[in-house]
Amino acid sequence: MIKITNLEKFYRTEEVETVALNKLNLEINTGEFVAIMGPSGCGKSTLLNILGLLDDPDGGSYLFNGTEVAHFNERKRADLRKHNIGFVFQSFNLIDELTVFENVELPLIYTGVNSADRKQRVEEVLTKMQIMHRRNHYPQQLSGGQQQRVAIARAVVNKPKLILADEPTGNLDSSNGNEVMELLTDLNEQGTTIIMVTHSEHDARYSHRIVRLLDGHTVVENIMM
Amino acid sequence: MFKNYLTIAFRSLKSNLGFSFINIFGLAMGMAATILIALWVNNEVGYDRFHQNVNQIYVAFNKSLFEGEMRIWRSTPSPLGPALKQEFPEVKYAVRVDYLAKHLTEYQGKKLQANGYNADPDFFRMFSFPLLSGNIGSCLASNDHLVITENFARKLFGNTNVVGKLIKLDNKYDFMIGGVLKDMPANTRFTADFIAPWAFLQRQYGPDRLQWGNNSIRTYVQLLPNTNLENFNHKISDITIRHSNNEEDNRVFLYPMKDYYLQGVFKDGKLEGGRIEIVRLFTVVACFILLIACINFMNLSTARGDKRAKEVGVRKAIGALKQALVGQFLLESVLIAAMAGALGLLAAQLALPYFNRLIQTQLAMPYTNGWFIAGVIGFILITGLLAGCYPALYLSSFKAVAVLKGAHRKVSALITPRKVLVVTQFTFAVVMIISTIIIRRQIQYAQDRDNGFEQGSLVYVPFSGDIDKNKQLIKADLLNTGAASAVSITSADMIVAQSNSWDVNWQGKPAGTKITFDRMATLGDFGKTMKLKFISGRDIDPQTYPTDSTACLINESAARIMNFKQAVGQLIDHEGLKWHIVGVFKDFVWRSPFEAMNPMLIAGPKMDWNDCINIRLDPSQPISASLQKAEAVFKKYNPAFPVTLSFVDQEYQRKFAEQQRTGKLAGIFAVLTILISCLGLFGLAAYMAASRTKEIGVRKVLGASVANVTAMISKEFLKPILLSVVLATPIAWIVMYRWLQNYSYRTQIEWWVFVTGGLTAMMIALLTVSYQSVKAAVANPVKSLRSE
Repeated sequence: MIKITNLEKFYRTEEVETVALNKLNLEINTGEFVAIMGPSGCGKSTLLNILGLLDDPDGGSYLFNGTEVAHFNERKRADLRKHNIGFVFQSFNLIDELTVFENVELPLIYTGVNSADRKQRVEEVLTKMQIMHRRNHYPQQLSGGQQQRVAIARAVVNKPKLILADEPTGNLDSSNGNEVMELLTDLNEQGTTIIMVTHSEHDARYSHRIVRLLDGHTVVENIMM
Repeated sequence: MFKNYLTIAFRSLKSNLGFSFINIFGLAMGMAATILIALWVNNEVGYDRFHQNVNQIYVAFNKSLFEGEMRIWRSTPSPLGPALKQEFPEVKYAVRVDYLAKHLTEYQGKKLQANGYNADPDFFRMFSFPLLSGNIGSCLASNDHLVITENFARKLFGNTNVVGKLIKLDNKYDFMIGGVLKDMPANTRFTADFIAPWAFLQRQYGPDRLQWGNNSIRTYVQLLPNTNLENFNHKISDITIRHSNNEEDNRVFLYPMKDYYLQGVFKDGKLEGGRIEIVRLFTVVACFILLIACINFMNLSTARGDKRAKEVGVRKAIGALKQALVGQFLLESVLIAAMAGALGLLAAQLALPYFNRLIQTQLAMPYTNGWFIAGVIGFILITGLLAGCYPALYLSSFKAVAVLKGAHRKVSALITPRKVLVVTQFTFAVVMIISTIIIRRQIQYAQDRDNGFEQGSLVYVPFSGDIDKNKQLIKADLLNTGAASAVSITSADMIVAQSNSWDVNWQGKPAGTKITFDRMATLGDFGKTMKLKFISGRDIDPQTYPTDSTACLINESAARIMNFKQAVGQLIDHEGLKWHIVGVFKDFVWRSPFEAMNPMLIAGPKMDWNDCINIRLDPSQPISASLQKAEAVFKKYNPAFPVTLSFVDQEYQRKFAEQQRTGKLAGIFAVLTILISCLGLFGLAAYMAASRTKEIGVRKVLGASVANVTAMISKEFLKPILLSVVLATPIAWIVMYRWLQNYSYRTQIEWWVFVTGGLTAMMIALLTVSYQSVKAAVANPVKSLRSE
């Protein structure tokens, strides 16, 4: 599904140039659950942002389902994103002014799904995430675990092929964290490819494979048994 | 999608009530002011342009050289209109109109004062004043026909179905109502209660006024379509010279009626502008007030930006394009503009009666007019887009990666673009404050001017009915009953400069010079009644000096021009008579108190122009008692007419009305801009205090006092205000310097005005900010640090 070759990304300030990704090579197959680990500043988040087409690389190639997307323009990237990729963030990033239902509905609005279908699909996914009873609440009225379940519901409502999760349990206690990991595992088992950045060895154990980064390149890949 | 945008717009308005209030209320005030000014501008621009034939209607002007200066004026000789019509086939209609005059009307014992003028019968063919009843062809055709307005018909008759009814004018002239006019719009120069046929002038005064040398009426001409104005003007240029057998040297030209109201001021033969300048000025002011209100919106929306940053990030991650986000935020600002527009419309409606009174208009909101509705919608859209474009671009440019990571940099409330906006707002506010002060000083300056005669306890009665016949009896009775200590019968009152003439000659006057003198005539006791200050000589007094029938007085300016060693005793040629100067008095203000004094001639009894009785009330008696006695005298000798005694000092104050209006408007706009700007500043300060809670906490823990912190925050806001004062000073100076050039009697612009204006703005800004900065400074640092 994903093949990146010699991927490069630099951050420049007036005086220093920092190499975030240094000729990185990585391949991820459809249906995989991959965890990306490494110390702070090793380039994990940069990699995830490039994979999610939120950021563009300075060099190298990025094939998504066989298409070169490294130099897509904003319109093409947005289009690819909304049909193929779901995001889960550490800090949930739910919109405070929208209810649970409306937050989850948002991606469907951007892909142009009609109102009746939207209702059905949002209710379906909320039921699956066991958060249906909270559909008319606002994010501030929910616990952290509940908020992350809403965020996951929003990420999957468009049935993306790929979910990118950036430390999805980072703001949660261990029992809520485990629930979220179970949810991601379930989604993966139903066929969604998942790439997750994490600091937690415990969470990483849910994945099929751990990619460890150091100074912008892969140092080791562990295959989970 | 649309619904989603609206939902989030309403909810974010609701969740920040304070900011929403400042945003909507500030914008509403700006929009209300703009709506009022727009109504006024629309009214001005449409002034006398509603006539169907307006593109073919022209006003006749005279021009002539006076002391090397080409002067242009609009009063023309009475035979001009008929001559133009007769001699030039291009002329479709030529209509003479004289000046509005007061008349007493009477119908079946009911008496009413009414204003009317005389016009040629084609008046109603040329101008678009539709008749409610009557026939356009015949309503002014007969000498005894009169056309009255709908409104006046109701007043006098109680209804408008009055064609054919008989009324009496001035207790003397019988007229038949030939037509009833639909009420005229307020923006026309022809507003009146009635229009009488031109022949009425002959009925009153005989044919004497029909001379080519007497310029006292206005002439309007309608040319056939496709007539070339330049060629036509060339052809008619010498018409007065020809008909007067070279006695007059005034050249005639036509000027388009549609431009005349807004651009009718000439200087030395060249068009210099006119009312268009004030219309432009007000348009600029309206734009600035709206801009200032929009700037509030921009400042607050961007300052609050990080509240929306997360939403922007999420929407981008989900697949929204920047354009879609720009659209969303613009929709939001248009929505807010719509709410503000509704509120602004309401505010404008409530303020309209006061505004009308202030600027002496009768503006109304034409709610059912399609153009008005389209205008309001367009106005809301433009305001929304203007206010929303910068915030929309700013907010939609947030980097999704950064905001979703929580790494979005919180900006301080006063970074550069916002500072620029605050500086713009306050620059305008300071200009308005300084201008208001200078306008008030100019009015005060002219009011304090020595006007050369004593106004208190001086009243006047214009002639009507039998006053002319009984004038000497009235004068004697006023003195005998003790109502007056002095009485002077004159050709005009002391308020309206009614006549001037360049037919004034004296020995030693350089040949070929043409100098205009203001002139009045009196039967005597002029200086005594007006309490003029004599520089040399004495008052005209035919009782004591029988030769005073051809005596005259001149003012100091005239004496200077005539350059006699000893003016008293010299002779002046005027109106075919020789007048001997018996006194020179100190100039008095007859025209505008803002203008330089003209040379003036007061001719003695031989002139025999009598139109006004001036009465110096006996100062030893209570005014009410004197008035009662005076009224009784007029009732006795002129019983058919109501007594109208006018106080000179009250009438004189009206000469300041226009300047006072400008001053009041400038004051209102100054308060409004300061208020709107401070609303925005208040919001910014609140935001800044909130976003710097942690910094303030740390500073306090490290030993900063409440005063230190307050000063720190206040200083940050004072800097742009100070810059505004620096920028505003030259702008205000230029604007006010140019305004003052309109007046030859004008005050100096003094430095302290700028200091006062600047300090006022800074004090107000400081007070606005201090509430927020003190609140932030006294907050418990432990709390603010823990909250991070």
